[in-house]
Amino acid sequence: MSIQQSFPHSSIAIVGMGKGGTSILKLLLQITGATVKYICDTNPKTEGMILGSRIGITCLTELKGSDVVRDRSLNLIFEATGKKDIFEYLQEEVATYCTVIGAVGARVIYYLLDGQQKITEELQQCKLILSEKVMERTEELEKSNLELQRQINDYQELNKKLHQINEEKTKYLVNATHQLKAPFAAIQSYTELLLDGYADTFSEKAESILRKMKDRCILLSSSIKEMLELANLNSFLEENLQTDTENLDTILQKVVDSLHPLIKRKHMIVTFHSGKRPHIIRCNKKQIEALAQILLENAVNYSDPGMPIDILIKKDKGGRILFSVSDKGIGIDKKNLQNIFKEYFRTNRGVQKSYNGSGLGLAIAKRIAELHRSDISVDSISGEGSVFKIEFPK
Amino acid sequence: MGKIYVIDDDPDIIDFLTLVLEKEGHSVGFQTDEQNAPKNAATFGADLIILDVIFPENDSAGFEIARELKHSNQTKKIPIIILSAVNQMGNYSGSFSNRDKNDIYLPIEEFTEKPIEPAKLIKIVQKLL
Repeated sequence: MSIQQSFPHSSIAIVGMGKGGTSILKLLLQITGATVKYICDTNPKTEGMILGSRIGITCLTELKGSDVVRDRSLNLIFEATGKKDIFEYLQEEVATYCTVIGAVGARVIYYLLDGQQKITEELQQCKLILSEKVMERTEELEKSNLELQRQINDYQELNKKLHQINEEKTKYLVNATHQLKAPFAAIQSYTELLLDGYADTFSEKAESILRKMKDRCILLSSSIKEMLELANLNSFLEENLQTDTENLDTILQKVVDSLHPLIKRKHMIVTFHSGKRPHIIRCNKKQIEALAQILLENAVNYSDPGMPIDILIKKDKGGRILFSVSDKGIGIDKKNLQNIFKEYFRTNRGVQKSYNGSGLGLAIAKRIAELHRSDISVDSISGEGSVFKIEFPK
Repeated sequence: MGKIYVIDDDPDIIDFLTLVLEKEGHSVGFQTDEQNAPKNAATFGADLIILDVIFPENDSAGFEIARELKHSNQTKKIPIIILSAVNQMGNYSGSFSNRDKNDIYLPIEEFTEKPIEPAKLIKIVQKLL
């Protein structure tokens, strides 16, 4: 708290403008709320009297009968002469409406006020230094802010360019893949026409060659198709993914149904473990169908005929919905587990077991999981089977 | 038996479709560019349209033709099969048509990928006629 705030509005007179009175005057002049109305000394040439007259305070050289003892608006008189008779005279004249502070009291008050004044001055000094420092730091901050903003702009610009490049790359890839696939589709279609007898019949040998041609056609066009899918998936960002609220159980059932011919051909049994309650997720249905199809096809292709496949759908303790596809197939060696989601990676045993694979299925599955902010993971023991698991975000 | 109109820039695909569909007793008409599809299909008297997506000058011509066909009073009731080398997964069409990322909601009856086996083609056509 400063003196200015604590000092009440006062109308003041100082009697005796020697050293003490002058000091009190100087101090009071710095205090808001303290109005020195009169100063009085028999000698008009003292420092205090000269100062007072210069700044317009009424200066009196005669105390008795003067305004000092008649002005009832006064509420404080400092008696600074140290003379007992003057003090008593003042007490007698003004005691009913005004406080008279004698020389000793005036000195005590002077020291108190002076001390407080010094503290205030020091405080103000500190405040000044502080505000200078604040200003300095503000300037520094503004500078670094500006620098930061510039860097953000640079990054945004760079990001935009990268997006553009990525888009162009994807578009190129999509178009290039289409260019490959379209003529291939024609070759495959013609092969099928021949095999289906649209152009007469063939010898057994010719037909067997045609079948091999058709098989390789199927492999190549499915590889091209998967390249195209992966290129498409890589092309768009999570925020552009169109999602709806979907029933995961229904999606997985549909995928199992669509693979029924393949499952039946290998005499495999697919069992659902999903409980009674439906599992609702927010997803792009087509992509989750594709993801489930990849996992299920792998489970069928890399298992011996007659082996079981289990599909588990559940909500874990943390409220996340997950599904897993477990098989009793060839499994994956520990050393290969970290590569299994990489593009074009296939294990030797995988190739031996199922020749017709592009090595892109799990890379596609991983990308779909990423787009859905989901985790995809695998647990596998070589020779015993694999479990692929997808955990959706809460 | 129906009248099937094919819009595809690949003459070999048209050749293949014609062979299979004519053997089934359908008659086939076609065009190899993206011009005036609704008028041509209507003139031919199409009961079913088989439509490609990517044309040499326009990556998303098929999507645009599908919309044109469904907008035209003469052709809006004719079922459309898209038969394309591009696949249907995800928002693939966003890669082709930057104008409209909702291209996935196409006004078509069937989306099939090339190559298509003769038996599957016959089945789909039968379903839609």
